[in-house]
Amino acid sequence: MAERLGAPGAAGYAAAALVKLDRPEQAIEAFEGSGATSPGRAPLLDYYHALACYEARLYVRADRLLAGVGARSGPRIAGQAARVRADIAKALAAEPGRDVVDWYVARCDALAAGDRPVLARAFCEEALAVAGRRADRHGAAEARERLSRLRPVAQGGP
Amino acid sequence: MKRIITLLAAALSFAFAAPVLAADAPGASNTPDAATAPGATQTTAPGATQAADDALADKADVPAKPPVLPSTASDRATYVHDNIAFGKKGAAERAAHSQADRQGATDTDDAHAEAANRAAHAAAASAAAAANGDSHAAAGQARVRTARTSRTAGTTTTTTTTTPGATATAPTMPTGRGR
Repeated sequence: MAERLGAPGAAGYAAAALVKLDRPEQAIEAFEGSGATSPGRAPLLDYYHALACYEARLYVRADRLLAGVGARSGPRIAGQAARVRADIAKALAAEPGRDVVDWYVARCDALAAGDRPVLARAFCEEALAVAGRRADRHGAAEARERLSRLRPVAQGGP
Repeated sequence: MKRIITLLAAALSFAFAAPVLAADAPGASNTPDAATAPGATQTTAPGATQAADDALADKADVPAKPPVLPSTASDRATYVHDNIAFGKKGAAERAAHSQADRQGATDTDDAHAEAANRAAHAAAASAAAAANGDSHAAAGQARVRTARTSRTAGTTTTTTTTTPGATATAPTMPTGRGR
């Protein structure tokens, strides 16, 4: 509605409101759905996007977004982004288990079956990223195969 | 939380209304590009966007929970915790127990009421029997009194009748010895 009324950045603010309402998956869909502003334009919205990914347990994705926030935001947001990144680094320090990759792939499948392609893609990309942190790359082929089947999102995504 | 949402909604609605109003204003171009062109919002309502950004920046905080990588095993544990042990099934079991307790209490109350009813019936029957006994006793006593009276009267009569020759003797009151 807001977009139709001529406010191109409205989706980002609506998505940020969803983050505050503790609905991270819906927020990710709003941040990354078709017509959403690409990351990198508004550091504050990127921070909220990263929080949504964090709450949805898409930690690699959140870390990637937060990496771009730090230098372009104010000192307070930059400090918070650094703290969150440090927490994520601790969680990702050890090699993730096979169960972790399987969980992301299963979540991707469930979301794809539920006709939520934006979220499904996010979870499959996370599965691929997490699988890349394993020596045996367990689950990477499955995640890649699923990503190839999901239709690409028009705009958005880190 | 409500304040954030309200502030965001107000800021956004102002941001959306401004370009539309500008497009509708006399002399404005009626082409959609005038309102939807990139940068239109920023140029027409920078204050609203700034207010929304300030509200978001003010409320931006760090996540309360530390990051925990998910796993299918932890999901199963969460499912069991939420739905079986303490969640839905536990709640169902607690509800069943509660229902059983209530039913038990109701049954107990019913049993008590029934026992009280039986006791009341028994008491009433006993009272009725007692009353009947009393009436029987009263009737018996009445019969005894009647018989005693008639016997006494009979004695006098007998005395008078059995001793026709003793008409000279004065009539005496009946005594116990006369029985």
